[in-house]
Amino acid sequence: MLIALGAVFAAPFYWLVTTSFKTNANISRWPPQIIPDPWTAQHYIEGVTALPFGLYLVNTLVICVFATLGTVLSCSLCAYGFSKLRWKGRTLLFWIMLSTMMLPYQVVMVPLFHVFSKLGWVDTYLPLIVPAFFGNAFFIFLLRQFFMTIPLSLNEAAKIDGCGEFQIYSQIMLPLAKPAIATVGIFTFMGAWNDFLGPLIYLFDESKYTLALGLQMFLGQYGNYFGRLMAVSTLLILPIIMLFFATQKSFVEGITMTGVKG
Amino acid sequence: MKFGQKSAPALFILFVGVGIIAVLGPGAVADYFITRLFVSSTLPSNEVVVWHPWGAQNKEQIEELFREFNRTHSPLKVKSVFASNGAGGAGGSQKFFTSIAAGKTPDVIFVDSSQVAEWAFQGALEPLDERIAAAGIRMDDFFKPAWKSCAYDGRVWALTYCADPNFAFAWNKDVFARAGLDPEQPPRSIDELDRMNDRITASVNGKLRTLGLIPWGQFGGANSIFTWGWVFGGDFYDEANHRITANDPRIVRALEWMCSYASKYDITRINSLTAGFGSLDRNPFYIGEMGMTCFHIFQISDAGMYAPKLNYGLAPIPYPQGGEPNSSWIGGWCMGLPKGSRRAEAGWELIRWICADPEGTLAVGKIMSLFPGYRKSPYFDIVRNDPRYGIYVSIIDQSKHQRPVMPAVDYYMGALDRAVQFVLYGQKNAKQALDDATFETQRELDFKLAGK
Amino acid sequence: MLFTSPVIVGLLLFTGYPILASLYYSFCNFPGLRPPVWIGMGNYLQLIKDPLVTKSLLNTAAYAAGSVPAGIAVAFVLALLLNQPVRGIAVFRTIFYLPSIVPAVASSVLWLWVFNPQYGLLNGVLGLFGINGPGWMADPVWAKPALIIMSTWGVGGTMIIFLAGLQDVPREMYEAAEIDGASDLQQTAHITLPFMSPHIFFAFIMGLIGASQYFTQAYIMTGGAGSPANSTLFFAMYLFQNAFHFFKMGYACAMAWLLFLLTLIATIVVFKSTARYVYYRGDNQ
Repeated sequence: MLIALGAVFAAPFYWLVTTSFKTNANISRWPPQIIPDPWTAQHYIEGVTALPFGLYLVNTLVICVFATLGTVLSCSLCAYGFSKLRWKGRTLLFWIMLSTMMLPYQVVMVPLFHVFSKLGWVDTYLPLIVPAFFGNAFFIFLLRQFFMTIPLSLNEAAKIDGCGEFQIYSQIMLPLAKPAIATVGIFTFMGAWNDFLGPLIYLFDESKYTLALGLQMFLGQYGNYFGRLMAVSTLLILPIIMLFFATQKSFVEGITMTGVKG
Repeated sequence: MKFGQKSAPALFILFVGVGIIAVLGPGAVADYFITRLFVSSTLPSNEVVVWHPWGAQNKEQIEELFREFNRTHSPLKVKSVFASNGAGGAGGSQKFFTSIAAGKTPDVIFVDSSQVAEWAFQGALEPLDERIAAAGIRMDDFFKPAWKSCAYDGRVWALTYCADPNFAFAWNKDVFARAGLDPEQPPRSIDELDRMNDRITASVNGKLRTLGLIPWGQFGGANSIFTWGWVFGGDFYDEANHRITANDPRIVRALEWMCSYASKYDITRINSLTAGFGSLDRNPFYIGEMGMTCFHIFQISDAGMYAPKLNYGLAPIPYPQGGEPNSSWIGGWCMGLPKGSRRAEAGWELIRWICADPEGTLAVGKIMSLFPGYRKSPYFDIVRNDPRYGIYVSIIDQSKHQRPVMPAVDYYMGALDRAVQFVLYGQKNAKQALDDATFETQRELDFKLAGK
Repeated sequence: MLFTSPVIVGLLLFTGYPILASLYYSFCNFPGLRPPVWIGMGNYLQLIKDPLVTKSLLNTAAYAAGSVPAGIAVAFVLALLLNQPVRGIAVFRTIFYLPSIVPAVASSVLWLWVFNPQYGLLNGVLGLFGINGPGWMADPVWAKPALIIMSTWGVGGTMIIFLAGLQDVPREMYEAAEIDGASDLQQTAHITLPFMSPHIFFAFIMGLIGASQYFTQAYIMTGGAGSPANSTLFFAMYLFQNAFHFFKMGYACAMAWLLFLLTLIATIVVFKSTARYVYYRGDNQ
């Protein structure tokens, strides 16, 4: 059952990888070749040398690491505030935050650009990094849902033991919500890794571009480098796969709640 | 913090840090972060910032072209920035849009030829008339439709960078031979085209194997109906009175003819030959599933890459009785100065050299294998006798049309696209669909012109 | 309050101004490049009369009605499967997550192949059972179901959230149920589901919001045309066209605010109507 389903889910990746090894003439064959014949590494060599691959990799990683760090920190704090603390206006602010997601990005793009332009941040990584430190509605909501499942009695107990709110947050909540935090981490990292629109709009210098944007360089007005697109796409998602594979345990190994009665 | 205890994230960050230092060298790291966290306020005064949408092979080519400019125009230097339009144009011109709205524009910009009037109307471009006059450039130096695309409301807003002669009619000689047709005889008239189409179209076990032509599949519904509409002698826009004329009876006839293939062979089966393989990877003509097609000039090199064995010929597009012989229209891209261009003088010199200079246009032709809009370019002498490009020279010489030059042309193309779809799927007849497209676009245009 | 201060500052600076600006633009004739000019309700009046707004709203609603529940169901089943302590489970977890990281361009082309009426995998498989498959992306009736099927395959993100959520279900509940002789299915229905309800609820709300703005894949697969016959012209696609192709940013903003209102109403309805079913173990309000 798992294997059959797995084949269905792995198909696109298989197709992506095999296409990247096909010759140009065979890429357009129909029906598609299941196994490339002949195999060629040409697209990888050309793809990696056509881009400043190392530089774009570094650029991408810098943005990803900062964005992930910022999101995890700010969102877990906010979610804690939204789930475990009582204060006036909590529900209202939660709804306002939630509703900000309901407006399509396309219409806030232009005024948002104005803000960054006024701040003098255009053509830097700041528009791509700094907002992460100010929370993200999606992840706050996600973490809030997780924190809500953690018994409040834990908080009470900690308070009696003399813990401050920040200590409760960092010593109790974060470790307990580790699967959720890991989820937020990988999602943010991936989001920043694949983001194409943000770098496209805010960066005015090709040497600052990211890999996802560099990938677009293989798509033209008149014709595409389809093989290179596939080859660099494969290179682009391999690290994500490895990262996911290495961290997938943390999604499921959070402190199990045995012994803690709700 | 407890969260950091599992050292995976920390290790990862360490790894990234080491990676950065390894790639850049320790000395450059500080510099790296300074340039990425702060903008330098002083821009080199000899630099011309150009945003272009040219990806894939065109990216390397345009950069070569800019190097050629740098070499001949020292100390001027082009700073080339790839502003992607996204996959299949999915990104639109979002970068340009957002930046011009905030006054952060490049010095020179590429504009799709159909978009010049709209961008000019929206105040995104600087008029070029004085510069053009001072440089001694005249209207007659350019192919007429190319020039017309750049002129709106009595002024000129851009110059043609590449003038695409749309289209030549290509036929696959192997497919013709297999169908028992003379591989050296392409159709000359629509009647002949219909007959050949019937001969070529073949099914195996109820599945369509080969098809003659997909009349609505020529670079999107709108470009298809433009192409055939003019072939049938139609006219899409009355410039003097600002009237949309998509329901011109000759265009209605063209659309009826286009969609007759859908009812004859079952639209679903036909679409399964093309379904989505349009722009991204695979062209049914390249692999012999389609015998005939309208062929864009870039496809000569594209087919050379993806279908090196393709055995095809090129001819003018067939036309019906009473239609337009050797019909074609000029598309392509133009270059302009965006409003707020800081180095307009140097930017103009780049535009002039690339678009209206014998030497520059020769370089465009040689490097990009595209046609300049500048008809006096020496490049045409080189390709006039080329077996493939030569036919495009004769097409562009006779070309009479360009897409309507008015500020709602993208909307118009969307409306035409929908009209084609409605008729293909039998939801409206051709007359009704084009009446609706005319009405909707006219309303849109009137609204825009009144709002000005 | 202090804990949520980042979001408050962030809201004001990076969200508040842009949102208010877009609200203002929605009452303006704003081409995007020239300054906005106030026209009052003009855009909204035009909205009501625009047949493509109605069409694209219905398309979006149909897509949401199909993709949201289907996506949650698939993600839930996958999460249950992947929560077993089987050898090599890490590989499977990665594989099931794969579709959500493959670039949209690549997955779109692949799915066009799967859905190809004549040569596609799907109709090939259906043919084995003697079923004459539909035209999928080439047929106005079947194009949306095709996109819904495609969407269920990219549920990796939701699956991970569920997988993480499953870790919070107390083990002793299962042990107790085991002793009481409850079947696996009963355990799932009476223990797993209630404990997972906050996460399912989250997935539902986010799915709703996501579906309301869905368009990228349809845009790529149809070359931006919403073909065949407008059947995949989604609301956000039409909005995008207005904003970045037709130079009607003001109109696009009005569309966005209409969508905002509709999504907000739907979300409130979901919040209110499911409140009784969502079980927060830690919330003793």
